[in-house]
Amino acid sequence: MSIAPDTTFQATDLARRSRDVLSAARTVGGAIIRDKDGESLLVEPAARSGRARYELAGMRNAFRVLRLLSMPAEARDPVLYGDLAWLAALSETAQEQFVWEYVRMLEAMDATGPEPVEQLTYEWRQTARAWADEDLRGELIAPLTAPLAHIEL
Amino acid sequence: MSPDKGKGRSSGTRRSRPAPSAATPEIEAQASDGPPSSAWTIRPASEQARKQWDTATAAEPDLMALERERLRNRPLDRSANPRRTGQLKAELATRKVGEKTLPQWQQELTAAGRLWYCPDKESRTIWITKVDLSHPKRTD
Repeated sequence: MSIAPDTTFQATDLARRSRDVLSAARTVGGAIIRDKDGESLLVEPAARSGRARYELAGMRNAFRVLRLLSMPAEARDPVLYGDLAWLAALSETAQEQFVWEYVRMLEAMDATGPEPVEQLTYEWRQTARAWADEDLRGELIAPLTAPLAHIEL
Repeated sequence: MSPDKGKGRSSGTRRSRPAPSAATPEIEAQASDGPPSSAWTIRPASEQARKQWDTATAAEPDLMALERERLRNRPLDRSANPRRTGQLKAELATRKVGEKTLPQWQQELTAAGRLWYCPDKESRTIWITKVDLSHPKRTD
């Protein structure tokens, strides 16, 4: 499957052949309109374009974290994590686990849409939030040895 | 106030009942307007969790009644309330409750309030491990 547009139109085609332009815009690669100054403009469905931008931004985030993980821990300033600054609160192993889960969700996005990615990010962010609170972390890790199996709430 | 007030169920008072098993469905759940027979049973995983649940119920009865209903019927459903419910990850993904290691979930009750629970699919029991209506924000 090629993502290169099959059809190139002239700016004047917008008025003369609008139906053809729109039809081509809906195809896999979208439609190219070459303006009078020679600049090429891509026309494609907004949803597809938005999804691609979202996926690209996600992949950039993942790459950034992987690059940071290759650096010494003391050099990993949370601000370098960009949108994922909260991730810095987690252990190195957890950060790596997040990245690969995140990448897998991004790769599946064509079929699932962005919601699973958002949910995954939410769950990891909440984990980081709890992990960063030492008291809470201690509570959430401690085994509960005497559950009250005879009481119903 | 009980979380069940006005809901047509017996009150939220605690009853001594045998521990559930996979073969023992929650018959009580079959009230006319109540949850289906497959409803989960909610139990405290510690004395502290029981007190926290009671405190939260007294402070926010309506909120906790809704939460109780959710836990009984859809404790693992993320879609009904996306980005408010989910399983924690990494070292917090599971927790030992009694002899079992169970998944650890968190529900956002309010902007600052959280509830943590461990669902046991085998016995259809929700173990409440902590309720906090005023969890301080640290990383948001």
